[in-house]
Amino acid sequence: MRLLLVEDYKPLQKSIAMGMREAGFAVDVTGDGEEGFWYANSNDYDVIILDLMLPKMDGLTILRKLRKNEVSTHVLILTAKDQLDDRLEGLNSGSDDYMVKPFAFSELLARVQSLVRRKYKDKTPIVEIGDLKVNTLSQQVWRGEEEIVLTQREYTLLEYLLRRRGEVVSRTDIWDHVYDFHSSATSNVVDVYIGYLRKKIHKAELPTLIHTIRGKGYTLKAQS
Amino acid sequence: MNHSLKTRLLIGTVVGMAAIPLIIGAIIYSIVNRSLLDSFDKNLHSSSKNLYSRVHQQNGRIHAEWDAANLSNYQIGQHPDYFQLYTNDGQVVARSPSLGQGTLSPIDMSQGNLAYQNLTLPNGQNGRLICLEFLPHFDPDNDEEENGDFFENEEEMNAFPKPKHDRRDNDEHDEDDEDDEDEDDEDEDERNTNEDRAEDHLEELDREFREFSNYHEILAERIDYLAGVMHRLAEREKAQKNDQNIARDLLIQRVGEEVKLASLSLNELENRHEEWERLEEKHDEGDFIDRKEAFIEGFKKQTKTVTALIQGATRALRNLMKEHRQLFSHLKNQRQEPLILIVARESTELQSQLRLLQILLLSGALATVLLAFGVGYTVVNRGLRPLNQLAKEIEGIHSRSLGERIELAGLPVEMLPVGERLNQLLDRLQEAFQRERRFSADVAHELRTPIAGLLSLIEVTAMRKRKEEEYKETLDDCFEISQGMQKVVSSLLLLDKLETRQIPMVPQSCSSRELIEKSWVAFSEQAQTKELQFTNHIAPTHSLDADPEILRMVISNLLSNAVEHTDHRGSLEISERGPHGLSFRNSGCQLSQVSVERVFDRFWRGDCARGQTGQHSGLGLALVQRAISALGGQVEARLSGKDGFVIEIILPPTRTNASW
Repeated sequence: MRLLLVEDYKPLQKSIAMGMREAGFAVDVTGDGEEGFWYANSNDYDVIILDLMLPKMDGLTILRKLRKNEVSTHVLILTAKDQLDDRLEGLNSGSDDYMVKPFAFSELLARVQSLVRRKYKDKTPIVEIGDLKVNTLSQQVWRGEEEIVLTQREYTLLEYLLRRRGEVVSRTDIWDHVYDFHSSATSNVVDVYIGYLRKKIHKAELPTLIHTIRGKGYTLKAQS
Repeated sequence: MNHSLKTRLLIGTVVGMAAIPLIIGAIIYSIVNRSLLDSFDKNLHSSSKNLYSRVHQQNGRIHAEWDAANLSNYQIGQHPDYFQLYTNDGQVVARSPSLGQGTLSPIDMSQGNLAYQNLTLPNGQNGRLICLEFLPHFDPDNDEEENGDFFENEEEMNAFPKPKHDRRDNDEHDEDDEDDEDEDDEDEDERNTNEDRAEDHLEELDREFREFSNYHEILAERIDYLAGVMHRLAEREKAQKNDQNIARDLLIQRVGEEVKLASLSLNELENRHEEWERLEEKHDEGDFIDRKEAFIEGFKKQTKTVTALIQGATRALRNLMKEHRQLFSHLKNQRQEPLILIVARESTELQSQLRLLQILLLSGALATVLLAFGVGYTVVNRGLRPLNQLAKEIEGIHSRSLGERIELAGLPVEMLPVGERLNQLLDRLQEAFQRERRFSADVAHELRTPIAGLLSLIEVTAMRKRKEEEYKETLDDCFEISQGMQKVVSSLLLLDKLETRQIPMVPQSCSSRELIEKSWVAFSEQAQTKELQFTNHIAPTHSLDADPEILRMVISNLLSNAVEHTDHRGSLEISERGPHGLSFRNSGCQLSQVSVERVFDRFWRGDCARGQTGQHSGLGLALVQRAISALGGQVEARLSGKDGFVIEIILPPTRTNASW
């Protein structure tokens, strides 16, 4: 899942980005309003965490411009403005959630994950497909009774496929949602990681879950 | 304790209004009471006068000449009057029948000879008595009458009987005494020899005898009278005399004896009447006429003697009486002992009248008090209504509705200043509240962000086990954030102190150039990094009058701000602005005219100042402005040229303004 953090206060940038990455997100960070808008407008993020008081362009302006450009990415406003008027204005400008600083990171994470679930129309954090079970909160994966240990990147890939289970997911989609701008990977790295993932979740006696649709991409399905 | 204005006014009104009828009532009551009592007492006095005016003292005895009409009120009856008469030494002389077994005791009359007092009468009713001391009428002992008798009888006694023939014969006997008459009688005896003449002579002798007899009766009466007077005189002297006067006693005794002697002599004469009778029987004898003549002669002599005796006694007695009167006249009044009369009468009617008056006056006063209370309550309530309304209006204003104002239109003139002041107060209060709210919102915001940073950093770091370097990095970040927060807090405290003028300032002359050069040291490294061009145009002689610490803080903040906002390879110039001012100019300003006006606001930051780790709190220029204001100076920010930004501070010329 790919996340954009627009926050000008460095310690928060740092901590939220770190926490989110460790929670399986690909995170892009910017402290500049204009840059934030440009990122959000040109990329398909799953969630945007948006501060309101920003240099060059304030958060509400970014939000309104995005909505005007029909960017429907879920936006969570994270701000020190705690007055009711501020919260109402933030929500009514098109945001999906509103959080006041200071905050508990776990709550921010839960809200972000909730927004992700909403985007992919999941209701619970535990997703099952066939005999594959994934806890999106604890990032635990089971095949049958057996728990499978995945690397961060493998898990991010699995979760994205899982969110879009049954659909054909193109390599570009995977690239966009699993890798941030800091990733210095090339495009065939997706195939490499799909290979790793297949190897880990594949069991000889169990049916295959990740299928390759030639010329289009991959799909995660219980039955072929 | 808080006192109620309403209660005060009410009590004042009621007491004030009640005092008037009470005082008037008391005056009326005392006047009427006195006049009723006076008239009652006057009546009582006149009744007592009726009694005492008829009390007499005679011969040491007191007797009252009261008739039935005088005493009719004092009989036993329904509402009788009472009296009791005492002598001075407390002996009851007389008392009214109505008293029965009761008694009226004399009261203290030290104030005079008259006193009134209330008492309970023998019949149990309330009454009032008059107690008075008086002198009874003194009746003298008929002395004058006696004197009169004396003189009258004396004249009578002078008409001593005289034989007619003597008068005719002898002229020299006319007016003279008895001796002459004696001679006439002797002549008569020699001449009368003739029968006829003898007959006439006899007749004349009989007549003479009768005349003498009559005269003797007069004399006897006279002696009786003298004896009576004598007796009374003796008695009175005995009773009245205080000191013994032996000479006078002897005199009285001698006069008494004279009278007695006269009486005896007269008795003897009376006895001779029988002798005359016996002589009559012997009228046949020849010497009858002679013997008769001789008898008459003797009779006459003896009569003369007795008369002389009586006259002497009378004279002596008269003298005694005269002396007596002289001696005892002064005792007359002393003997008049004062008496004490007490007359009492029922006063129930008087008292019931007074009671009625009391009730009328008191109920009048009570009604006035109630009326006063009612009127006072209404008036006070109505009068204080605007006050209550004002209180209610004020009560309705709380910190969330400071925009409300007191309606001045309906206020009475006296309360208009109060309302106006309250509104002014509310204006200031609202302004202060808004400022404080904005400020606390700012503070909350400014502190909330670093706190969020701290919490987030710590929470994320603690989410899993990490390498030592990562922990160290987090700790460094946290330390930096905390430093930033500490700086914000210090700045806020300093701001507050500057605004509330809690910092003691000791202005002194400071060399501007030196101060700037010293402060620049802290920024020179940063300036070198940015390759800034720093120019200090201040002359070494230029100086500012201000507290050096505050001035250093101001300059340091201005330099910090300038270095921070000057563009790379930009310029920073400091020059004089008059004798008491400095001007800081830096290039690279990206502020708009609107933004320039806000540079002194607390927590306001230009865009480029954001996003750091809290080193730029947005309080620096705010501090500068408050400090210059505290020093009594002025500070101004403006744009200059293409990208120039200028801040000018001007301090007051004298240090007096800076002192506080």
